[in-house]
Amino acid sequence: MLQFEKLQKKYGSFTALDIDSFVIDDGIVWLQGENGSGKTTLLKTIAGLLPFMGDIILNNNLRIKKQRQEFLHLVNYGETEPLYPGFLTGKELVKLYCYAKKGSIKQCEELLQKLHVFEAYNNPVATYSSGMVKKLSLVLAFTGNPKWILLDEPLVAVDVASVETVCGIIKNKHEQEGVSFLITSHQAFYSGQLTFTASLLAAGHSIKKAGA
Amino acid sequence: MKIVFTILQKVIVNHFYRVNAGFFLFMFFVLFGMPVNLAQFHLAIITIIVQNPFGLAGGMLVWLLYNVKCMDYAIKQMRNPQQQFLFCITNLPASACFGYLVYVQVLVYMPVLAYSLVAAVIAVNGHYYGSAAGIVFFTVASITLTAAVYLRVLQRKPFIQSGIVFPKTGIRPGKPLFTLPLYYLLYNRRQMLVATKIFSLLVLYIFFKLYEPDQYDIRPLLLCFMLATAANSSIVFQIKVFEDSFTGFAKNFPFSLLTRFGILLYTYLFLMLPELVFVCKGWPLHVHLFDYLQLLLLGVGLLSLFHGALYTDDMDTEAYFKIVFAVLAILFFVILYNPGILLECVLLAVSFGLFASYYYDFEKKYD
Repeated sequence: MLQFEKLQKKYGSFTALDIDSFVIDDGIVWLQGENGSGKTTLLKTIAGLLPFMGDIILNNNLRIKKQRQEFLHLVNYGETEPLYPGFLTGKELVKLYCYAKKGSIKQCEELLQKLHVFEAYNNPVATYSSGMVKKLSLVLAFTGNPKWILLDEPLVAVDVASVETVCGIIKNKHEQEGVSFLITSHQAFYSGQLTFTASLLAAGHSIKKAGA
Repeated sequence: MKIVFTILQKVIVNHFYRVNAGFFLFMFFVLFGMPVNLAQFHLAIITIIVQNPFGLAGGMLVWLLYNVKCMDYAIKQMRNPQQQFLFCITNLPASACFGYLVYVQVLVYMPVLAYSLVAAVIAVNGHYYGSAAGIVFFTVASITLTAAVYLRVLQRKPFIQSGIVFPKTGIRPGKPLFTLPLYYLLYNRRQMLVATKIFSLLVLYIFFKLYEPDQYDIRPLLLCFMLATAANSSIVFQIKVFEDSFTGFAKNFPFSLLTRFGILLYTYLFLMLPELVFVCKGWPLHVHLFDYLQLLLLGVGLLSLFHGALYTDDMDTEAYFKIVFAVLAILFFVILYNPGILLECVLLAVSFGLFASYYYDFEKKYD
């Protein structure tokens, strides 16, 4: 469960997010909203990438402001347009993430094979296509033992065949390991591809339950 | 036609001087900020250049280094995905395109161009026609050949047609987090790194060569080492740019602040290794074993302090170098009072204080 307490995020004088109090229950949650409605900002804020006012609490006991290290052990993030140093190889990034997130290199390699990017594993990221970088970033987001994985537009630049694979991984992670997902996507999911347990709408600098 | 000049000037020339404001400020300080008769000082340098073949070779080497800096910058800028639109200029006749790029090179090469032309005039006045011809030839070649290289870059033509494949060693050293900025410098800012290291090592070399103390005192070497460390301040700025652009993801790693600060210290310890190894040359006349620790901590502490200062605000190079100069001015007087290792401990404590206070609050502003 993710709980927001008086969360406020500003860019200069512009208020991007102003959430007084809100709770996101565990599950696979779809965060929808127009461009500029604050979806990415919210995800980056939860992932500890952006400074903000207020607090975020995980599972009723871990506060990002006070227990950042423990909090970030349990929250992974996959960006919309991931950017890595071009001189690093996929393998080096996997090793780095597995070291930081205490993940399994073997599991990452298996996922990369499923997504057909393992052939480029030893090549520098600079030689990857945007789709390959995206797939690599998804695998890195799945690393370790998170309780929540935040995926910003996970299907952008991913080929049709791999969309099924990504959805399958998300389903498995949720059902077998109890991992919750907060996913933003402008693309619609076909029935059976992915079943969302809740749907949220980002609008007016805040979030609410979709349809509410 | 005018629009091409305007665009090239805005995209390449103006940006070059803005990005290198710190470098030019530093060079201005070195060349024109010394308490000597400036006219006589520069006349002496130019006289060595025009009268002595080794002086001429040395002068040309420095000019060449500056030209490499210009080329490195301009080529990177032309290859930058944001500047891909410049490719449309290649629709113009190649001669016109070349002319535009000569204009670009003349403008970025201007500081050296002005100095070398003054040297050529002085050479002619002193009847050193060989030196004058050499300087003019070198200058024309620097400008035209570099413009030709720019043209090739803009036309997306490879430099080597035959496709030479260099043998690979197969050795791939690991890349822990603290080494990433160093690899970035090696891959993307190699020329800047080499030029900085040559400069800082030269400063230390000249110090050891010219200064022979009557009795042991660490302070002169500390001041000199501070200058050599400060020469790396441009690199610190580049490391911060790299951090903001490419390793932002590491903020999501579950590391403590102390670990993150440790990673930063490791980075700067490895960055300062050439200077730290070279300074051993001064043992035992200039530096004793215990004081060596002071030098080590001064180097690492000062660079981490500069890095910490960059977290306090999203600053440009101009604002950053003001801080660098202010810190150096303060340290200059503090070192004279011989505070011992206490100074380095305070430096590290202030660095950590800045890091701890601003690391998570820092945010890059995009205009």
